[in-house]
Amino acid sequence: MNRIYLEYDNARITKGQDDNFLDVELFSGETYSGLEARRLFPITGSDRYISLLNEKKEEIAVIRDINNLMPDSKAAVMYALQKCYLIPKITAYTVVMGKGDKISINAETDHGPCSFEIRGSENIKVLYDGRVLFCDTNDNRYEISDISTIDKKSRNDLLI
Amino acid sequence: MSFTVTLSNKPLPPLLEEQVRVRLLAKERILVALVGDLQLSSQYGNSALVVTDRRLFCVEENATDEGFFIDRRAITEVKVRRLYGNAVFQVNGTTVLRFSFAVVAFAEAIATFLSHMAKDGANEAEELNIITAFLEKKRCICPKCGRMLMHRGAPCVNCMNKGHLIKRLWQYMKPQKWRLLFCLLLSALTTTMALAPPFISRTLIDSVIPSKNLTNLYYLVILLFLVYAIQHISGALRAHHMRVAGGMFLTGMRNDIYRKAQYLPVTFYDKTSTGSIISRISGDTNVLLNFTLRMSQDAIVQFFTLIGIMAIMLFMDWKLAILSLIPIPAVVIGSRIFSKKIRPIYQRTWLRWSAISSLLTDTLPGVRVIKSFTAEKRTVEKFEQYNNEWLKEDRKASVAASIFPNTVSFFALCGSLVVWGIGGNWVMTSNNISLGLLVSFISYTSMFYGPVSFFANLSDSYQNMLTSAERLLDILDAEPEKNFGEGNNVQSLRGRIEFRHVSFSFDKVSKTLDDINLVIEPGDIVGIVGTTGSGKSTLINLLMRFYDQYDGEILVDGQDIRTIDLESYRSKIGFVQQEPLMFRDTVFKNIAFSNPDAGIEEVIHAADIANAHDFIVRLPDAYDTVLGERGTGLSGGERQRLSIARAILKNPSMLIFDEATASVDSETEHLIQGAIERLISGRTTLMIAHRLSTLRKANKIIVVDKGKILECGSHEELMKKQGKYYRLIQIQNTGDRHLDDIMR
Repeated sequence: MNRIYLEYDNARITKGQDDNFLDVELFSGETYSGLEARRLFPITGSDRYISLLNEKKEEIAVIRDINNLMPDSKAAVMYALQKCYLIPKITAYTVVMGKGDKISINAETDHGPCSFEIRGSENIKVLYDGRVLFCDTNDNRYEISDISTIDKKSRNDLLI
Repeated sequence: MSFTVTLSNKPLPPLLEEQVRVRLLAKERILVALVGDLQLSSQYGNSALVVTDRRLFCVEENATDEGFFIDRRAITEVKVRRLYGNAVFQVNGTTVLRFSFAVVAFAEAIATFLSHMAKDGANEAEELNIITAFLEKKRCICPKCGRMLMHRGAPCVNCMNKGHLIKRLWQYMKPQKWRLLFCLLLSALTTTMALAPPFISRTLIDSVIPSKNLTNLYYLVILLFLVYAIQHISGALRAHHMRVAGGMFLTGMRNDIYRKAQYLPVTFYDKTSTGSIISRISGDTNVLLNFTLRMSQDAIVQFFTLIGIMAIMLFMDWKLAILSLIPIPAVVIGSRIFSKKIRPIYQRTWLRWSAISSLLTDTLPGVRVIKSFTAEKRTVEKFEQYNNEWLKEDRKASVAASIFPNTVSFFALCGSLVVWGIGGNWVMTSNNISLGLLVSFISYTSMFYGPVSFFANLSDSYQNMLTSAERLLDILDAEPEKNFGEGNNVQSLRGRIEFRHVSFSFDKVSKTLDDINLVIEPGDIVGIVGTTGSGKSTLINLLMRFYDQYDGEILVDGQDIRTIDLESYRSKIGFVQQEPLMFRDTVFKNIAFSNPDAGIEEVIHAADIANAHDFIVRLPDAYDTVLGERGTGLSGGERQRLSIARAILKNPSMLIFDEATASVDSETEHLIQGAIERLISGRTTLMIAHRLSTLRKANKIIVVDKGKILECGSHEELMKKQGKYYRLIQIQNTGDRHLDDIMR
């Protein structure tokens, strides 16, 4: 299968009519609008391999590395990714143990204060780089940038 | 102007309510309102999307601008696009609201309503029913824990006031209450006997020996012998009965857990590894057994001993008794600190062990795959890594569990040293206490710290037990498969199947099935084709009622399948899977698994129809051949024919084949096809197939793609249409031609 990889100047990427999405003009002259930027490795490599999907979720092209795009295209992609991906970074929190495997967290994040619930320790992942990822009962995602900033009591409560 | 919002996911917060109020026009009526949790900037904050009888508008709390407004007549396209961790509501291609996945389902219901209303001739009241039905369904969910309730307002099994954990566990001990009472009486006897010797010793030291009274000496020695004999006989009796009670307690619990595990929904197994469940049934119940035995062997006796000794010590000399109690506060406080510290360590140790169990469950049955990819080294390394992680946690637990009991023992010994020092001084300097009293007092002191030490250490095994009990209750209290139609049995099914607007999502991110509408008439043979991940198997999973949380309805003979008794419903369906699972049992019992009451000839007949009898006869032990784990010893095709025999024996009203011939060679496929054709006659049959040759008997073919039905019709109709099915046939024909060329 021939996959179109976008890098350097082989495509012009701009903000779409709806700025959550992207318009793409390929070097060959083909144009696509309203493409959604999807990270292929959202956890391990957030700047590399960005899939561009149309409304039917069909892949149109893949950006190899955002950093290799033309500055304007890079800015547009970064903006769309920022809009599409909501992974609030938790800056302060209180952990409340619930019944069974339910854990409630009241958090201050870079997107404002929020409360969420996690069920089961499999929804808390500690990554090799020290990040801690949470997936709540509604499938929303949250992140603590550095495990070492988590106090001992919370680590005990979160079983990490 | 006052207004009411009857259809809303939650009440409008006051600030937002005010903003909505000022935006409403005269006599404008709100139909539905969505209260969102994010703002367009992705910051958390309240927002609302309001649909009125005239307009749609969006407002954000504390926003300075007017927000988005549109006349409903100008709406041409409405969509909800699920992004990552959030979703957006788009009207005519413009994002008007952002929200988290917590409200995305409600947003989709509103989008469906608006899309339908944008079409000519839509009835507003009817379309609003979509939203009403959605909210009704939401209200059937426990507001506290989010579990599905049996019906609206029903008590939630998870949130019911269950009282203390031990109280819950008592339910399993309750049938043994008379045995336990007998044991308690024996405990009282044992304790009394244990407390007597020091008292007798005091009499011996202070009166009998100094007075050289031999008769009394022999009497007291015989008395001591009798005391020891009664103490140990009653102790042995008690130990036996308590162990029996403990065993029965565990048997009851294991039975309940296994029974419950059988009735848990597939979604539970999607989220929980089988390793973790096995570890709960085997490991955690054992922890409870150990605790129960510890409690049964020692705790009751130690408790009575403690009370008895305290009473005797206070009676003998209250001042010495108080001196000996000095270390008690240190022991109690230490015990509480220890409990808090050890619990998370035990939980983490269990998690590590659960990971090991999962790895074992995955890799041991898959040893052929591991070998074929020469992955032995990698697998061993992974196992060692998991094992080392467990060891690390276990070491922490071990450090805590070893230091604490010894510290307690040390403090306890210090208590007896105080009695020696001060009591000895009193014997030497005053005549208030005799030597006999001091010696027997020291004996009681050392006996007293035995129970104190025991109870201090008990918190360790208590915490361990608590962690295990919680995990077991997690299964016991888990919501079983919902059987909303319990008691609504069906005698037989004609086999008319109807999917009405069925949508389903596993992860709330993308829809696996999207608005499926389909009618299958009784006796139809329906082939379901489509690429991998198109939603074919999900369609079958919903029909089998492995998942009930879907939108829309699935009707069989006009009845919503969720309203039919689950057991009765499934008993009418024969399900043949791609990878048939055989149990470690005889060939006969594996076939008769679907109908254990079947006679020998019925089983042989079923095997015959399934083209299995011939190969079974050739096995040395024929129907008595014990199959290895998961059916090892048989080829894939042979296992498949056994599974078809199983389905035949069940005599189902409807049949489902999930790629039954996908992993067998052409000759075996021919044999299986023959078996299938004999089985399906007159029964509604659904066949998922990759090989289109499998579908030659189908009178209706459904082409599924990306969760939607693309095409539906007979082979001829679809070929004439020259759509997706036509292309699939072309691809396969080309492949076959290539194969023919190669074979030539």
